[in-house]
Amino acid sequence: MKSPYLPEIVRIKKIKQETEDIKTFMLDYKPVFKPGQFFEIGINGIGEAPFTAASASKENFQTSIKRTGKLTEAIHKLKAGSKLTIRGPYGNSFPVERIKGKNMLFIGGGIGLPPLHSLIRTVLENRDKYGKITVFYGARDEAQIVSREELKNIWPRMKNFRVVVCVDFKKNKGEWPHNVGLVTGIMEKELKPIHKKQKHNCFCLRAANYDKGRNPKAAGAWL
Amino acid sequence: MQSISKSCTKESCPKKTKKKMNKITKNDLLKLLDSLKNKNRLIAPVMAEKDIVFDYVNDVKDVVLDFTNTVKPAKEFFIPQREDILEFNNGKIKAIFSDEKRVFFGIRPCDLKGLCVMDPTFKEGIEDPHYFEKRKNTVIIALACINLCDENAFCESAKAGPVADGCFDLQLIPLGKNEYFVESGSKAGADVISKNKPLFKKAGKSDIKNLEEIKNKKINKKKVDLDLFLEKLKGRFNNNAYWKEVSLTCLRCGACNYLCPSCFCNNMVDNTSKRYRCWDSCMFRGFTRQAANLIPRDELYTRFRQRLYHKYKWHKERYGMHMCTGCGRCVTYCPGLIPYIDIINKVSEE
Repeated sequence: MKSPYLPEIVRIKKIKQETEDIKTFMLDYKPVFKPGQFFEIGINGIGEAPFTAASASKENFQTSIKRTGKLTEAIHKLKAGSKLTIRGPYGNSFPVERIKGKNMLFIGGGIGLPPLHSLIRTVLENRDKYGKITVFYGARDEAQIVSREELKNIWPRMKNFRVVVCVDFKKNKGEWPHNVGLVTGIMEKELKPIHKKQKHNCFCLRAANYDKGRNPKAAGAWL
Repeated sequence: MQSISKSCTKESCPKKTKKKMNKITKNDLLKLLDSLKNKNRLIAPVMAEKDIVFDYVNDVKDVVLDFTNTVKPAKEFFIPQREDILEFNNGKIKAIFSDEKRVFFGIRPCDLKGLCVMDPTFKEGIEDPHYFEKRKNTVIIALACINLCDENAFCESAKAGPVADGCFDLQLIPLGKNEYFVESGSKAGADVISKNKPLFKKAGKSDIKNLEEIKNKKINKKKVDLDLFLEKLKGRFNNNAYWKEVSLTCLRCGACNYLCPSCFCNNMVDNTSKRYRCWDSCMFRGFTRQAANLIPRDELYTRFRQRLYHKYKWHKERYGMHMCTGCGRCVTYCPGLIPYIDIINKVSEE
Protein backbone atom coordinates (compact mmCIF):
# COMPACT_ATOMS: atom_id res chain seq x y z
CA MET A 1 0.00 0.00 0.00
CA LYS A 2 1.29 3.43 -0.85
CA SER A 3 0.62 6.47 1.26
CA PRO A 4 -0.09 9.63 -0.72
CA TYR A 5 1.71 11.49 2.07
CA LEU A 6 4.99 9.67 1.38
CA PRO A 7 7.30 12.19 -0.36
CA GLU A 8 10.30 11.65 -2.60
CA ILE A 9 13.71 12.65 -1.29
CA VAL A 10 15.51 14.90 -3.79
CA ARG A 11 18.81 16.78 -3.95
CA ILE A 12 19.09 20.54 -4.28
CA LYS A 13 21.04 21.28 -7.46
CA LYS A 14 21.39 25.04 -7.31
CA ILE A 15 20.31 27.90 -5.06
CA LYS A 16 19.89 31.46 -6.26
CA GLN A 17 19.53 34.37 -3.85
CA GLU A 18 16.74 36.51 -5.34
CA THR A 19 16.37 39.10 -2.59
CA GLU A 20 17.41 39.33 1.03
CA ASP A 21 14.69 36.86 2.07
CA ILE A 22 13.79 35.04 -1.15
CA LYS A 23 15.78 32.18 -2.64
CA THR A 24 15.09 30.12 -5.74
CA PHE A 25 15.83 26.43 -5.38
CA MET A 26 16.53 24.20 -8.37
CA LEU A 27 16.07 20.53 -7.60
CA ASP A 28 17.47 17.38 -9.15
CA TYR A 29 13.94 16.38 -10.01
CA LYS A 30 11.98 16.59 -13.27
CA PRO A 31 8.29 16.18 -12.55
CA VAL A 32 5.47 16.22 -15.10
CA PHE A 33 2.77 18.75 -14.20
CA LYS A 34 0.60 21.55 -15.51
CA PRO A 35 1.46 25.24 -15.04
CA GLY A 36 -0.07 26.59 -11.85
CA GLN A 37 0.03 23.32 -9.93
CA PHE A 38 1.80 23.12 -6.59
CA PHE A 39 4.00 20.66 -4.70
CA GLU A 40 4.41 19.93 -1.00
CA ILE A 41 8.02 20.58 -0.09
CA GLY A 42 9.37 19.73 3.31
CA ILE A 43 12.13 18.72 5.67
CA ASN A 44 11.70 15.61 7.81
CA GLY A 45 11.03 16.53 11.40
CA ILE A 46 10.12 20.12 10.60
CA GLY A 47 7.14 19.89 8.27
CA GLU A 48 5.98 20.52 4.76
CA ALA A 49 4.13 23.29 2.96
CA PRO A 50 2.77 23.96 -0.52
CA PHE A 51 4.90 25.78 -3.10
CA THR A 52 3.99 26.50 -6.70
CA ALA A 53 6.41 25.40 -9.39
CA ALA A 54 8.31 28.22 -11.10
CA SER A 55 9.66 25.95 -13.83
CA ALA A 56 7.96 24.24 -16.75
CA SER A 57 7.01 20.58 -16.77
CA LYS A 58 9.75 17.97 -17.44
CA GLU A 59 12.63 20.36 -16.73
CA ASN A 60 14.58 20.68 -13.48
CA PHE A 61 12.06 21.71 -10.87
CA GLN A 62 12.41 25.25 -9.54
CA THR A 63 10.54 27.15 -6.87
CA SER A 64 11.06 30.47 -5.13
CA ILE A 65 10.72 30.45 -1.37
CA LYS A 66 10.43 33.44 0.92
CA ARG A 67 11.82 33.11 4.45
CA THR A 68 8.75 33.67 6.55
CA GLY A 69 8.30 30.86 9.11
CA LYS A 70 9.75 27.75 10.73
CA LEU A 71 9.93 25.57 7.62
CA THR A 72 11.05 28.24 5.16
CA GLU A 73 13.79 29.31 7.57
CA ALA A 74 15.06 25.75 7.72
CA ILE A 75 14.91 25.46 3.91
CA HIS A 76 16.86 28.71 3.56
CA LYS A 77 19.66 27.25 5.68
CA LEU A 78 20.16 24.36 3.24
CA LYS A 79 23.06 24.37 0.78
CA ALA A 80 23.31 22.99 -2.75
CA GLY A 81 23.67 19.22 -2.41
CA SER A 82 21.40 18.96 0.64
CA LYS A 83 18.19 16.99 0.47
CA LEU A 84 14.54 18.02 0.56
CA THR A 85 11.32 16.04 0.41
CA ILE A 86 8.76 16.73 -2.28
CA ARG A 87 5.40 15.31 -3.35
CA GLY A 88 2.95 16.40 -5.98
CA PRO A 89 1.71 17.83 -8.24
CA TYR A 90 -1.57 18.94 -6.71
CA GLY A 91 -4.29 21.47 -7.42
CA ASN A 92 -5.71 23.17 -10.45
CA SER A 93 -3.80 24.62 -13.35
CA PHE A 94 -4.02 27.42 -15.90
CA PRO A 95 -6.03 26.56 -19.04
CA VAL A 96 -3.02 26.21 -21.35
CA GLU A 97 -5.04 24.94 -24.30
CA ARG A 98 -7.91 27.37 -24.03
CA ILE A 99 -5.66 30.44 -24.05
CA LYS A 100 -3.86 29.53 -27.28
CA GLY A 101 -3.97 32.39 -29.80
CA LYS A 102 -4.87 34.94 -27.14
CA ASN A 103 -2.95 37.95 -25.85
CA MET A 104 -1.91 37.52 -22.27
CA LEU A 105 -1.62 39.81 -19.30
CA PHE A 106 0.30 38.60 -16.25
CA ILE A 107 0.07 40.52 -13.01
CA GLY A 108 2.41 39.57 -10.21
CA GLY A 109 3.28 41.17 -6.93
CA GLY A 110 6.27 40.41 -4.67
CA ILE A 111 6.72 36.67 -4.30
CA GLY A 112 3.65 36.32 -6.55
CA LEU A 113 5.66 36.39 -9.77
CA PRO A 114 7.46 33.01 -9.50
CA PRO A 115 4.14 31.06 -9.55
CA LEU A 116 3.45 32.67 -12.93
CA HIS A 117 6.86 31.64 -14.27
CA SER A 118 5.61 28.17 -14.82
CA LEU A 119 2.95 29.40 -17.26
CA ILE A 120 5.20 32.03 -18.87
CA ARG A 121 7.88 29.39 -19.50
CA THR A 122 5.32 26.99 -20.93
CA VAL A 123 4.02 29.72 -23.24
CA LEU A 124 7.57 30.63 -24.33
CA GLU A 125 8.22 26.98 -25.24
CA ASN A 126 5.46 27.33 -27.87
CA ARG A 127 5.81 31.05 -28.48
CA ASP A 128 4.13 31.15 -31.92
CA LYS A 129 0.92 29.63 -30.55
CA TYR A 130 0.20 32.59 -28.25
CA GLY A 131 -0.40 36.33 -28.76
CA LYS A 132 1.24 39.32 -27.12
CA ILE A 133 2.50 38.97 -23.56
CA THR A 134 2.36 41.78 -21.00
CA VAL A 135 3.81 41.35 -17.52
CA PHE A 136 2.99 43.78 -14.72
CA TYR A 137 5.14 43.31 -11.66
CA GLY A 138 5.17 45.21 -8.41
CA ALA A 139 7.50 44.94 -5.41
CA ARG A 140 7.91 46.87 -2.15
CA ASP A 141 11.19 48.45 -3.21
CA GLU A 142 13.95 47.67 -5.64
CA ALA A 143 15.71 45.30 -3.27
CA GLN A 144 12.59 43.13 -3.15
CA ILE A 145 12.37 42.48 -6.89
CA VAL A 146 12.60 38.81 -7.84
CA SER A 147 13.53 37.31 -11.23
CA ARG A 148 15.57 40.41 -12.09
CA GLU A 149 17.37 38.77 -14.95
CA GLU A 150 14.11 37.95 -16.72
CA LEU A 151 12.38 41.24 -15.91
CA LYS A 152 15.33 43.46 -16.84
CA ASN A 153 17.26 41.69 -19.57
CA ILE A 154 15.55 38.61 -21.00
CA TRP A 155 11.85 39.32 -21.41
CA PRO A 156 11.95 42.96 -22.60
CA ARG A 157 14.21 41.89 -25.48
CA MET A 158 11.74 39.34 -26.72
CA LYS A 159 9.33 40.09 -29.52
CA ASN A 160 5.77 40.98 -28.49
CA PHE A 161 6.72 40.92 -24.82
CA ARG A 162 6.11 43.99 -22.67
CA VAL A 163 7.33 44.28 -19.08
CA VAL A 164 6.16 46.96 -16.65
CA VAL A 165 7.87 46.91 -13.26
CA CYS A 166 6.93 49.16 -10.39
CA VAL A 167 7.88 49.65 -6.75
CA ASP A 168 5.79 50.92 -3.84
CA PHE A 169 8.60 53.12 -2.52
CA LYS A 170 11.59 54.53 -4.29
CA LYS A 171 14.73 55.27 -2.33
CA ASN A 172 17.08 56.72 -4.97
CA LYS A 173 16.18 58.66 -8.05
CA GLY A 174 17.16 57.31 -11.42
CA GLU A 175 17.47 53.64 -10.55
CA TRP A 176 15.50 50.88 -12.28
CA PRO A 177 12.47 50.54 -12.33
CA HIS A 178 10.83 53.84 -13.17
CA ASN A 179 7.26 53.38 -11.95
CA VAL A 180 6.30 54.15 -8.36
CA GLY A 181 3.03 52.95 -6.88
CA LEU A 182 1.03 49.81 -6.35
CA VAL A 183 0.89 47.50 -9.34
CA THR A 184 -2.87 47.90 -9.53
CA GLY A 185 -2.56 51.69 -9.71
CA ILE A 186 0.18 51.57 -12.36
CA MET A 187 -2.02 49.29 -14.44
CA GLU A 188 -4.77 51.86 -14.44
CA LYS A 189 -2.38 54.35 -15.99
CA GLU A 190 -0.55 52.03 -18.35
CA LEU A 191 -3.30 49.88 -19.76
CA LYS A 192 -4.77 51.20 -22.95
CA PRO A 193 -8.48 50.66 -23.55
CA ILE A 194 -7.76 48.11 -26.26
CA HIS A 195 -6.33 45.76 -23.66
CA LYS A 196 -9.63 45.74 -21.90
CA LYS A 197 -11.01 43.46 -24.58
CA GLN A 198 -8.52 40.78 -23.62
CA LYS A 199 -10.15 37.70 -22.27
CA HIS A 200 -7.46 35.68 -20.57
CA ASN A 201 -5.39 37.12 -17.80
CA CYS A 202 -3.48 35.43 -15.04
CA PHE A 203 -2.51 37.08 -11.84
CA CYS A 204 -0.99 36.27 -8.56
CA LEU A 205 -0.71 39.07 -6.05
CA ARG A 206 0.91 39.22 -2.67
CA ALA A 207 -1.14 39.94 0.39
CA ALA A 208 -0.37 43.66 0.63
CA ASN A 209 -2.25 44.48 -2.54
CA TYR A 210 -5.40 43.04 -1.08
CA ASP A 211 -4.77 44.50 2.32
CA LYS A 212 -4.80 48.00 0.94
CA GLY A 213 -8.23 47.43 -0.46
CA ARG A 214 -7.00 47.64 -4.01
CA ASN A 215 -9.43 45.30 -5.63
CA PRO A 216 -7.70 44.32 -8.88
CA LYS A 217 -11.03 44.37 -10.67
CA ALA A 218 -11.72 47.96 -9.68
CA ALA A 219 -8.21 48.94 -10.68
CA GLY A 220 -8.61 47.72 -14.21
CA ALA A 221 -7.84 44.03 -14.18
CA TRP A 222 -10.69 41.86 -15.25
CA LEU A 223 -10.95 38.13 -15.48
CA MET B 1 -16.94 -4.35 5.79
CA GLN B 2 -19.71 -2.24 4.41
CA SER B 3 -19.66 -1.00 0.87
CA ILE B 4 -17.77 2.29 1.09
CA SER B 5 -18.19 3.25 -2.53
CA LYS B 6 -21.90 3.49 -1.85
CA SER B 7 -22.02 6.29 0.63
CA CYS B 8 -25.11 6.66 2.65
CA THR B 9 -26.97 9.14 0.52
CA LYS B 10 -30.64 8.45 0.27
CA GLU B 11 -30.32 7.65 -3.41
CA SER B 12 -27.52 5.13 -3.19
CA CYS B 13 -28.32 3.53 0.14
CA PRO B 14 -29.15 -0.14 -0.29
CA LYS B 15 -32.75 0.34 0.72
CA LYS B 16 -34.77 -2.21 2.56
CA THR B 17 -34.45 -5.01 0.09
CA LYS B 18 -35.93 -8.33 1.13
CA LYS B 19 -33.60 -9.74 3.70
CA LYS B 20 -33.91 -12.72 5.95
CA MET B 21 -34.57 -11.42 9.41
CA ASN B 22 -32.76 -12.80 12.40
CA LYS B 23 -32.98 -12.24 16.11
CA ILE B 24 -30.40 -12.53 18.85
CA THR B 25 -30.75 -12.44 22.65
CA LYS B 26 -28.54 -10.27 24.84
CA ASN B 27 -26.70 -13.30 26.23
CA ASP B 28 -26.05 -14.67 22.77
CA LEU B 29 -24.92 -11.25 21.61
CA LEU B 30 -22.23 -11.24 24.29
CA LYS B 31 -21.23 -14.74 23.20
CA LEU B 32 -21.06 -13.49 19.62
CA LEU B 33 -18.86 -10.56 20.60
CA ASP B 34 -16.66 -12.92 22.61
CA SER B 35 -16.20 -15.19 19.63
CA LEU B 36 -15.54 -12.27 17.25
CA LYS B 37 -12.95 -11.03 19.73
CA ASN B 38 -10.77 -14.09 19.02
CA LYS B 39 -9.78 -12.93 15.56
CA ASN B 40 -10.48 -9.21 15.83
CA ARG B 41 -9.93 -6.41 18.28
CA LEU B 42 -13.26 -5.45 19.77
CA ILE B 43 -14.35 -1.83 20.22
CA ALA B 44 -17.48 -1.41 22.33
CA PRO B 45 -19.16 0.98 24.75
CA VAL B 46 -17.77 0.72 28.27
CA MET B 47 -18.13 2.67 31.52
CA ALA B 48 -15.50 5.31 32.26
CA GLU B 49 -16.34 6.66 35.71
CA LYS B 50 -19.90 7.83 35.10
CA ASP B 51 -19.67 8.26 31.35
CA ILE B 52 -20.09 5.78 28.56
CA VAL B 53 -17.26 5.81 26.03
CA PHE B 54 -16.03 3.61 23.20
CA ASP B 55 -12.86 1.70 23.96
CA TYR B 56 -10.98 -1.47 23.10
CA VAL B 57 -12.42 -4.29 25.19
CA ASN B 58 -10.59 -7.35 26.53
CA ASP B 59 -13.46 -8.91 28.44
CA VAL B 60 -17.00 -8.81 27.05
CA LYS B 61 -18.26 -8.47 30.63
CA ASP B 62 -17.20 -4.83 30.40
CA VAL B 63 -19.44 -4.15 27.39
CA VAL B 64 -22.37 -1.91 28.23
CA LEU B 65 -25.51 -2.85 26.30
CA ASP B 66 -27.98 -0.38 27.75
CA PHE B 67 -26.89 3.16 27.15
CA THR B 68 -28.24 6.14 25.24
CA ASN B 69 -25.18 7.50 23.47
CA THR B 70 -21.49 8.01 24.16
CA VAL B 71 -20.14 11.44 25.03
CA LYS B 72 -17.56 11.30 22.26
CA PRO B 73 -18.52 10.14 18.77
CA ALA B 74 -17.11 7.04 17.09
CA LYS B 75 -14.93 8.94 14.61
CA GLU B 76 -11.80 8.81 16.76
CA PHE B 77 -11.36 5.13 15.86
CA PHE B 78 -11.14 6.07 12.17
CA ILE B 79 -9.47 9.47 12.36
CA PRO B 80 -7.73 9.38 15.74
CA GLN B 81 -7.12 12.62 17.54
CA ARG B 82 -3.47 11.99 16.82
CA GLU B 83 -2.40 9.52 14.18
CA ASP B 84 1.17 8.78 13.08
CA ILE B 85 1.39 8.90 9.27
CA LEU B 86 5.12 8.86 8.48
CA GLU B 87 8.20 7.71 10.34
CA PHE B 88 11.67 9.21 9.81
CA ASN B 89 14.74 7.10 10.33
CA ASN B 90 18.28 8.13 9.28
CA GLY B 91 17.08 10.15 6.31
CA LYS B 92 14.63 7.44 5.25
CA ILE B 93 10.85 7.82 5.36
CA LYS B 94 8.28 5.09 5.93
CA ALA B 95 4.49 5.29 5.92
CA ILE B 96 2.72 3.84 8.96
CA PHE B 97 -0.39 1.72 8.40
CA SER B 98 -2.44 -0.37 10.73
CA ASP B 99 -3.89 -3.54 9.23
CA GLU B 100 -5.58 -4.49 12.48
CA LYS B 101 -8.91 -6.30 12.01
CA ARG B 102 -11.55 -4.81 14.24
CA VAL B 103 -15.18 -5.29 15.22
CA PHE B 104 -16.92 -2.10 16.29
CA PHE B 105 -20.01 -2.84 18.35
CA GLY B 106 -22.57 -0.34 19.56
CA ILE B 107 -22.09 2.54 17.15
CA ARG B 108 -25.28 4.61 17.04
CA PRO B 109 -26.93 5.60 13.73
CA CYS B 110 -25.89 9.27 14.07
CA ASP B 111 -22.20 8.39 14.52
CA LEU B 112 -22.45 5.82 11.74
CA LYS B 113 -23.85 8.36 9.33
CA GLY B 114 -21.07 10.72 10.45
CA LEU B 115 -18.53 8.26 9.00
CA CYS B 116 -20.50 7.87 5.76
CA VAL B 117 -20.66 11.64 5.43
CA MET B 118 -16.87 12.01 5.68
CA ASP B 119 -16.07 9.04 3.40
CA PRO B 120 -16.32 11.01 0.12
CA THR B 121 -13.97 13.68 1.47
CA PHE B 122 -11.24 11.11 2.04
CA LYS B 123 -12.06 9.42 -1.28
CA GLU B 124 -12.32 12.33 -3.70
CA GLY B 125 -9.22 13.05 -5.76
CA ILE B 126 -6.44 11.13 -4.06
CA GLU B 127 -7.88 8.45 -1.81
CA ASP B 128 -6.55 8.44 1.74
CA PRO B 129 -5.50 4.86 2.60
CA HIS B 130 -4.76 5.75 6.22
CA TYR B 131 -8.48 6.34 6.71
CA PHE B 132 -9.86 3.68 4.38
CA GLU B 133 -7.67 0.88 5.76
CA LYS B 134 -9.41 1.39 9.08
CA ARG B 135 -12.82 1.59 7.43
CA LYS B 136 -12.21 -1.58 5.42
CA ASN B 137 -10.75 -3.54 8.33
CA THR B 138 -13.58 -2.73 10.71
CA VAL B 139 -16.83 -4.70 10.86
CA ILE B 140 -19.50 -2.34 12.16
CA ILE B 141 -22.31 -3.69 14.30
CA ALA B 142 -24.60 -0.70 14.73
CA LEU B 143 -27.11 -0.36 17.53
CA ALA B 144 -30.36 1.39 16.68
CA CYS B 145 -32.04 3.68 19.19
CA ILE B 146 -35.52 3.23 20.62
CA ASN B 147 -35.20 5.81 23.38
CA LEU B 148 -34.35 9.48 23.19
CA CYS B 149 -30.67 9.98 24.01
CA ASP B 150 -30.57 13.74 24.33
CA GLU B 151 -33.27 16.35 24.23
CA ASN B 152 -31.26 18.20 21.57
CA ALA B 153 -31.11 15.24 19.21
CA PHE B 154 -32.69 15.76 15.80
CA CYS B 155 -31.48 12.64 13.98
CA GLU B 156 -34.91 12.15 12.40
CA SER B 157 -34.71 15.54 10.69
CA ALA B 158 -31.10 14.82 9.65
CA LYS B 159 -32.20 11.48 8.19
CA ALA B 160 -29.62 9.60 10.24
CA GLY B 161 -31.64 7.80 12.90
CA PRO B 162 -32.99 6.57 15.21
CA VAL B 163 -32.66 3.47 13.01
CA ALA B 164 -29.91 3.52 10.36
CA ASP B 165 -30.93 2.75 6.80
CA GLY B 166 -27.52 1.68 5.56
CA CYS B 167 -23.74 1.94 5.99
CA PHE B 168 -23.57 -0.82 8.60
CA ASP B 169 -22.45 -4.43 8.32
CA LEU B 170 -24.97 -5.51 10.93
CA GLN B 171 -27.58 -3.46 12.71
CA LEU B 172 -29.22 -4.50 15.94
CA ILE B 173 -32.66 -3.09 16.66
CA PRO B 174 -33.89 -3.60 20.23
CA LEU B 175 -37.01 -5.76 20.48
CA GLY B 176 -38.31 -5.83 24.02
CA LYS B 177 -35.83 -5.98 26.87
CA ASN B 178 -33.80 -9.00 25.98
CA GLU B 179 -33.69 -9.35 22.23
CA TYR B 180 -32.55 -7.60 19.08
CA PHE B 181 -33.54 -7.80 15.46
CA VAL B 182 -30.47 -8.35 13.35
CA GLU B 183 -30.27 -6.60 9.99
CA SER B 184 -27.44 -7.42 7.65
CA GLY B 185 -26.17 -4.61 5.41
CA SER B 186 -23.14 -6.13 3.72
CA LYS B 187 -21.39 -9.39 2.86
CA ALA B 188 -19.19 -9.06 5.92
CA GLY B 189 -22.32 -8.74 8.03
CA ALA B 190 -23.93 -11.78 6.40
CA ASP B 191 -20.71 -13.73 7.05
CA VAL B 192 -20.87 -12.95 10.76
CA ILE B 193 -24.38 -14.42 10.84
CA SER B 194 -23.57 -17.51 8.78
CA LYS B 195 -20.43 -18.31 10.78
CA ASN B 196 -22.27 -18.03 14.10
CA LYS B 197 -25.59 -19.51 13.06
CA PRO B 198 -26.47 -21.23 16.37
CA LEU B 199 -26.55 -17.87 18.15
CA PHE B 200 -29.23 -16.42 15.85
CA LYS B 201 -32.92 -17.22 15.71
CA LYS B 202 -35.27 -16.60 12.82
CA ALA B 203 -37.64 -13.69 13.30
CA GLY B 204 -41.33 -14.53 12.99
CA LYS B 205 -44.09 -12.64 11.19
CA SER B 206 -45.22 -10.81 14.31
CA ASP B 207 -41.63 -9.74 14.97
CA ILE B 208 -41.37 -8.23 11.50
CA LYS B 209 -44.59 -6.32 12.09
CA ASN B 210 -43.11 -5.01 15.34
CA LEU B 211 -39.98 -4.00 13.50
CA GLU B 212 -41.91 -1.77 11.12
CA GLU B 213 -43.57 -0.11 14.11
CA ILE B 214 -40.23 0.49 15.79
CA LYS B 215 -38.75 1.91 12.60
CA ASN B 216 -41.65 4.32 12.18
CA LYS B 217 -41.67 5.47 15.79
CA LYS B 218 -40.64 9.10 16.27
CA ILE B 219 -38.61 9.79 19.39
CA ASN B 220 -36.97 13.20 18.81
CA LYS B 221 -38.14 16.29 20.67
CA LYS B 222 -36.44 18.72 18.27
CA LYS B 223 -37.17 19.19 14.60
CA VAL B 224 -35.38 21.10 11.88
CA ASP B 225 -35.70 21.37 8.12
CA LEU B 226 -32.16 21.17 6.79
CA ASP B 227 -33.10 21.52 3.12
CA LEU B 228 -35.05 24.69 3.83
CA PHE B 229 -32.16 25.93 5.98
CA LEU B 230 -29.80 25.42 3.03
CA GLU B 231 -32.05 27.52 0.80
CA LYS B 232 -32.24 30.31 3.39
CA LEU B 233 -28.47 30.28 3.93
CA LYS B 234 -27.97 31.28 0.31
CA GLY B 235 -28.85 34.93 0.81
CA ARG B 236 -27.42 35.31 4.28
CA PHE B 237 -23.67 34.99 3.89
CA ASN B 238 -22.97 38.73 3.90
CA ASN B 239 -25.34 39.54 6.74
CA ASN B 240 -22.37 40.18 9.04
CA ALA B 241 -24.46 41.78 11.77
CA TYR B 242 -26.48 38.58 12.10
CA TRP B 243 -23.43 36.31 12.27
CA LYS B 244 -21.82 38.62 14.83
CA GLU B 245 -24.92 38.48 16.99
CA VAL B 246 -25.33 34.68 17.00
CA SER B 247 -21.64 34.03 17.62
CA LEU B 248 -21.45 36.48 20.52
CA THR B 249 -21.16 33.79 23.21
CA CYS B 250 -18.78 31.51 21.29
CA LEU B 251 -15.70 30.77 23.42
CA ARG B 252 -13.60 29.54 20.46
CA CYS B 253 -13.08 26.25 22.31
CA GLY B 254 -13.67 23.89 19.39
CA ALA B 255 -15.85 21.49 21.42
CA CYS B 256 -18.47 21.55 18.65
CA ASN B 257 -15.87 20.27 16.16
CA TYR B 258 -14.29 17.72 18.45
CA LEU B 259 -17.61 16.21 19.55
CA CYS B 260 -19.09 16.24 16.05
CA PRO B 261 -19.40 12.79 14.45
CA SER B 262 -18.74 14.25 10.99
CA CYS B 263 -16.09 16.98 11.47
CA PHE B 264 -12.85 15.75 9.90
CA CYS B 265 -10.56 18.78 9.51
CA ASN B 266 -7.03 17.97 10.50
CA ASN B 267 -3.49 19.32 10.51
CA MET B 268 -0.14 17.65 9.78
CA VAL B 269 2.56 18.21 12.36
CA ASP B 270 6.16 16.95 12.63
CA ASN B 271 8.16 15.97 15.64
CA THR B 272 11.74 14.74 15.34
CA SER B 273 10.84 11.17 14.41
CA LYS B 274 7.29 11.25 13.09
CA ARG B 275 4.85 13.18 10.95
CA TYR B 276 1.40 12.91 12.49
CA ARG B 277 -2.10 14.04 11.69
CA CYS B 278 -4.14 15.63 14.44
CA TRP B 279 -7.59 17.14 14.75
CA ASP B 280 -7.97 20.80 14.00
CA SER B 281 -10.91 23.13 14.51
CA CYS B 282 -12.32 25.75 12.17
CA MET B 283 -13.26 27.74 15.27
CA PHE B 284 -9.58 28.33 16.13
CA ARG B 285 -8.04 31.61 15.00
CA GLY B 286 -4.94 29.91 13.62
CA PHE B 287 -6.94 27.51 11.44
CA THR B 288 -6.55 29.69 8.35
CA ARG B 289 -3.25 31.32 9.21
CA GLN B 290 -1.03 31.69 6.14
CA ALA B 291 2.69 32.14 5.69
CA ALA B 292 2.58 35.95 5.64
CA ASN B 293 0.64 35.78 8.95
CA LEU B 294 -2.47 36.78 7.07
CA ILE B 295 -5.57 35.21 8.66
CA PRO B 296 -8.52 35.25 6.23
CA ARG B 297 -11.01 34.25 8.94
CA ASP B 298 -9.53 36.38 11.68
CA GLU B 299 -12.87 37.56 13.05
CA LEU B 300 -14.81 35.07 15.14
CA TYR B 301 -18.10 35.52 13.29
CA THR B 302 -16.48 34.50 9.99
CA ARG B 303 -15.32 31.23 11.56
CA PHE B 304 -18.72 30.61 13.12
CA ARG B 305 -20.37 31.23 9.75
CA GLN B 306 -17.83 28.97 8.03
CA ARG B 307 -18.75 26.05 10.25
CA LEU B 308 -22.47 26.37 9.54
CA TYR B 309 -22.02 26.89 5.80
CA HIS B 310 -19.66 23.93 5.50
CA LYS B 311 -21.99 21.66 7.42
CA TYR B 312 -25.31 22.67 5.94
CA LYS B 313 -24.55 24.05 2.50
CA TRP B 314 -21.20 23.34 0.87
CA HIS B 315 -20.87 19.68 1.83
CA LYS B 316 -24.45 19.01 0.76
CA GLU B 317 -23.93 20.76 -2.58
CA ARG B 318 -20.71 18.87 -3.20
CA TYR B 319 -21.53 15.38 -1.94
CA GLY B 320 -25.31 15.30 -1.65
CA MET B 321 -25.29 14.88 2.14
CA HIS B 322 -25.56 17.37 4.98
CA MET B 323 -22.49 17.24 7.19
CA CYS B 324 -24.73 17.00 10.23
CA THR B 325 -26.33 13.87 11.59
CA GLY B 326 -28.48 15.47 14.28
CA CYS B 327 -26.73 13.94 17.32
CA GLY B 328 -27.23 17.19 19.23
CA ARG B 329 -23.81 17.06 20.95
CA CYS B 330 -22.74 20.53 19.76
CA VAL B 331 -25.84 22.04 21.37
CA THR B 332 -25.66 20.01 24.58
CA TYR B 333 -21.96 20.51 25.25
CA CYS B 334 -21.45 24.09 24.00
CA PRO B 335 -20.08 26.06 26.98
CA GLY B 336 -21.35 29.25 25.35
CA LEU B 337 -24.87 27.76 25.21
CA ILE B 338 -25.19 28.57 21.53
CA PRO B 339 -28.62 27.34 20.45
CA TYR B 340 -27.76 25.87 17.04
CA ILE B 341 -31.22 24.31 16.63
CA ASP B 342 -32.94 27.64 17.29
CA ILE B 343 -30.59 29.32 14.82
CA ILE B 344 -31.46 26.76 12.14
CA ASN B 345 -35.18 27.10 12.81
CA LYS B 346 -35.16 30.87 12.98
CA VAL B 347 -33.25 31.27 9.74
CA SER B 348 -35.52 28.69 8.07
CA GLU B 349 -38.66 30.52 9.10
CA GLU B 350 -37.62 33.84 7.62
